[in-house]
Amino acid sequence: MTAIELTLRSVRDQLHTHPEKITDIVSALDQRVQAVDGKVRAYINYKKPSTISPIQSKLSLAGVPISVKDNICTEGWDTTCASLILQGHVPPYNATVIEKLKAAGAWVFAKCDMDEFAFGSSTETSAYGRGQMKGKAGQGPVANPWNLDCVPGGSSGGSAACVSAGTALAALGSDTGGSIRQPASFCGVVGMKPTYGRVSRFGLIAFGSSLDQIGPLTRTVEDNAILLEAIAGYDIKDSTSVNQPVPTYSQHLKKEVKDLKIGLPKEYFVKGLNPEIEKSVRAAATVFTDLGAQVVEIDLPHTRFALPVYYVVAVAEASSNLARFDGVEYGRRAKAENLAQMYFQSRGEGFGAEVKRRILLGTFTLSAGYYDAYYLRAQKVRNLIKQDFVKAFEKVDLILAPTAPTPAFRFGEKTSDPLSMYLSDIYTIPANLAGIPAMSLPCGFSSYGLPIGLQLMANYFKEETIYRAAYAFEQATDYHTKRPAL
Amino acid sequence: MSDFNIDYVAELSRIALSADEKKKYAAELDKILGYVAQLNECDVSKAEPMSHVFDVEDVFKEDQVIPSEAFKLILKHAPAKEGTYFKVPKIIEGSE
Amino acid sequence: MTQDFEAVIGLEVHTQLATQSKLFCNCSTQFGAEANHQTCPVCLGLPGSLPVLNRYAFDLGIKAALALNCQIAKRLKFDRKNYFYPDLPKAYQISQFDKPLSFGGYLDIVLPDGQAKKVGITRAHLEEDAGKLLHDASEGASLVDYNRGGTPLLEIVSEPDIRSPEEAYIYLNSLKTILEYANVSDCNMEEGSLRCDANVSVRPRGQKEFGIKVEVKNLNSFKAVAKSIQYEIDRQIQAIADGETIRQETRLWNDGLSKTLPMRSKEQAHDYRYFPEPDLVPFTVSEEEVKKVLSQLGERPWERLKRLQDAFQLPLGDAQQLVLDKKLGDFFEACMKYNVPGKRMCNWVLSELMGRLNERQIRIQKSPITSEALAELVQLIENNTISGKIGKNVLDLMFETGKSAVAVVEEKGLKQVTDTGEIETIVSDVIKQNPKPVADFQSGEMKAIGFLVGQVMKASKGKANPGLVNKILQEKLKK
Repeated sequence: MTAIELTLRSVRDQLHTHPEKITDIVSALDQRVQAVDGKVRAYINYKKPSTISPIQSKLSLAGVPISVKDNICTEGWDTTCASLILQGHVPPYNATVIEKLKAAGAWVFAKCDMDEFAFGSSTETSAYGRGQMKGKAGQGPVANPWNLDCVPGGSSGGSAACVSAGTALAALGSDTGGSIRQPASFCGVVGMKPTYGRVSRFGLIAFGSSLDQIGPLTRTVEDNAILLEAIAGYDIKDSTSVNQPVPTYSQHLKKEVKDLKIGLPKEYFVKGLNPEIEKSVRAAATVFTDLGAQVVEIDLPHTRFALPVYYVVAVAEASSNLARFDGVEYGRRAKAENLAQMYFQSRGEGFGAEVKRRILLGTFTLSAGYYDAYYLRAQKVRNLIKQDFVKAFEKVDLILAPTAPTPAFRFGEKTSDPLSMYLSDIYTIPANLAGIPAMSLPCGFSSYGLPIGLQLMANYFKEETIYRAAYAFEQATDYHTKRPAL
Repeated sequence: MSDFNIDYVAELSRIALSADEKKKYAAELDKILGYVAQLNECDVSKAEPMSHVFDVEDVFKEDQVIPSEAFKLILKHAPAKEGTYFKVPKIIEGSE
Repeated sequence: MTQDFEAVIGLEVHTQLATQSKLFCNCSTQFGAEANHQTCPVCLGLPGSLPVLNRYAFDLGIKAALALNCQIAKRLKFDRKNYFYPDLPKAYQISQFDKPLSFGGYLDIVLPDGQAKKVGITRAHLEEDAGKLLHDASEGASLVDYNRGGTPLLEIVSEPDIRSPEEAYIYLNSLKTILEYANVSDCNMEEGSLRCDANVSVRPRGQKEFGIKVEVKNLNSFKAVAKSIQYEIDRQIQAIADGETIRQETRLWNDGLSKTLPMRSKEQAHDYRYFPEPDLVPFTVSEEEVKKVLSQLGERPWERLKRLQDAFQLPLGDAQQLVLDKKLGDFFEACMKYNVPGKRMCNWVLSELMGRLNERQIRIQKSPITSEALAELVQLIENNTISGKIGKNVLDLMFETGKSAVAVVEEKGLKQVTDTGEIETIVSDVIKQNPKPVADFQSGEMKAIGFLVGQVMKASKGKANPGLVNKILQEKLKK
């Protein structure tokens, strides 16, 4: 049994009746890690688990190992956000999602590399990848298992790559502007960003507080539903988490899709979209009509403002969220003779270039005299973008769109022009701004053999609609059976 | 173009930047702000600012004491400490 | 000719709300714990932590605002106030900017000349406290303790209606009383549960525009507030007379030198970059809630003043003292539960007890003599078991030994001698032994009886009932 053939579902089922099989499963995963992580470099400080706690087979995810993005707090394990400034930071508590995994019997297998503080679309900004911090199986950034010269996407590049490479059964990532979905599309896996407030943010090291969500990355739609069920739910420690019951997503996958009305937003099919991706996504629309669903064209008129809004609102929140990294209580402190120097040097040395860029930008948009022109205005435009979706969902149940404008690009291709990197998220950002759920799943390959992802968006708390449509699509196609030739 | 003052913003952000870095970031951020300026083309006359995704209000916690031992691990790994205090370079007269 | 100037003063008071736990987390707010032992991921500002609002703090804030005659906002929200300082773990304080809890209130004060004045209250809003910094506890370093960080504060901003240091002092005392009566805060400046900053400016009398205002910080007592304001007024007037422009700045009060000093740092104007706190939802207050809290406000200070005067026949001055210090008033009323007369009990509380507590620097809340114990002492005087003079000794012994009045009187044999026969015997002896004073008295020197009374008291070791002594002496000397 090679790890990449396993699914979360099959492992869970097996461990329920044969808990002793955990040793085989861990060995298989470890073997795979030893075989390929030197090339993929998804993991930080990976160590084969030596003792595995006795499995209580009554728990829903008993014995299941999950890999976790390094911006999610794991008690007693270094959690660094792939940044030098958090070198050596050991959280004294678990994020709520980790507590929920534990309560379901699952456990943390490894921490995944990421873009520094989740700022990025390629995972190239990681301080580990840049060689500033040690702890990876190989030198360099996380690589795309489908083509090791290409990026896995970001910021949850490690989470997507380990699932794609088979060094994980499933992983958790975080999504603020597309950071689960875009790497999922680049790596050919299923990635879900839940409705804002569906999953607790307590213990997720904050980037854009009004946008962030933790979500699952898996090889199959069913696995994704199972994992979301385990981590979703109201949390009294998170004032923005919503008190709504969590449906049993995995039990409702096999419903019909004939009743569904699916919208194709015309603003997403414009110049800049790779023609092969457009072809794949339109072909996917045909699969849905073949399955009996109705596909219509819709309007999301404020789409072009989404990226500018994001680069005001998200960076403003980020600049404030990252101010606590000052060398006083935790992380890395620079040598300094006085307090001012301590602040300036710790932050100057500890943060990478993209992080500095966003902090400077965010600070500016909130500063005296500019708040109204930038932040306040962006919040108003954000509302208009939200209203676009509210109106659209009066007409359709799902929105079908590309996830990213291009397949995975090569290392270094976009690092010299920040704006070109930002444009990677042009199709994913709107869902974060509105707070609606959105998923990326594989729908084809480019002529270079790189995965293409299709995005499904639904109304608030309608993850089950996404799951059922995604499942139907998955079962009607064979993209989910393809594996990278690592 | 955008009045972006790199010196002021770097000061506010407490990030030490070399002269070269200041030049680089000023140019990059100017470009990004140029892109962001598109927002001025949007008619916001009828729009309310959106701070939260949902109209949820009044989320509270009860007034109860639950002790935490978190400080022990944090102090253990703190950059500088003295006893159970965090330590920073001496501050004179209550300001930087 | 020097212009006549008018001082314009506004006060910003921060008061800690009397909750068990902090504003956004479940750490205790108790004073005096070992450094950083009352912290958690939230109030330490650890990455990934999130705030949740303490409902009781919210309710206390509303109560305090209503006690100050403020309007309560129907919808309010929190904002981040961003700045860097080691006592602020998140590098932002969760406070309120443009939609505060309350606004538009006032405080009634009585000026020294008896005139009533309303000092406007611009707003009162909720915010979290910062930690504490120690600058002198370590060589070349400052130490940080986050125990206080996250404690709920109500920031009360007055209109610039105050015109003198005396008024400021009165305002602060009145504010403290109002807050104590509303049961929202301990209002203890020593423990830091009440803090004050002053904004001072001067303008030529009659001018409508305000002068440049200077903020004064580091004020640790109401007296310091008054002193620093006087200093600032004088400094500003002198500066203007010297042809200088007043700098808008923050100055620190130095109690040792009795002056305000400029802060050394160049960057004083903070760009706080306020924006709505994304981790907290907005909050609402309904009319029903406001009505409910109003009905729970309890006895207001002026109501107690009237009641004490009426119920216990206390003079205004005494009643005012009991009202101004709520805990003192509480102590007095607890004493009054026992069968003692109001005026006498009041004297014993205000003079004898408070005198001894002040000497020992003990606050009434921590008095080793309980109200029951003091009332018992006064009862012994009332029923003539001991004299008032002996009573004072007894009180001293109660402090020393921790024993009750009855026990002390018993042990030391201090019971008053009221047996007329006994007294007559002593009086006869004294008359016999002091022929000259007797003769003086009988020849018209009324004062001589004082000496004789003293001798009788001495002979009886102070235990003779002075009234009886006087009566018997007078009778015997008449012959």
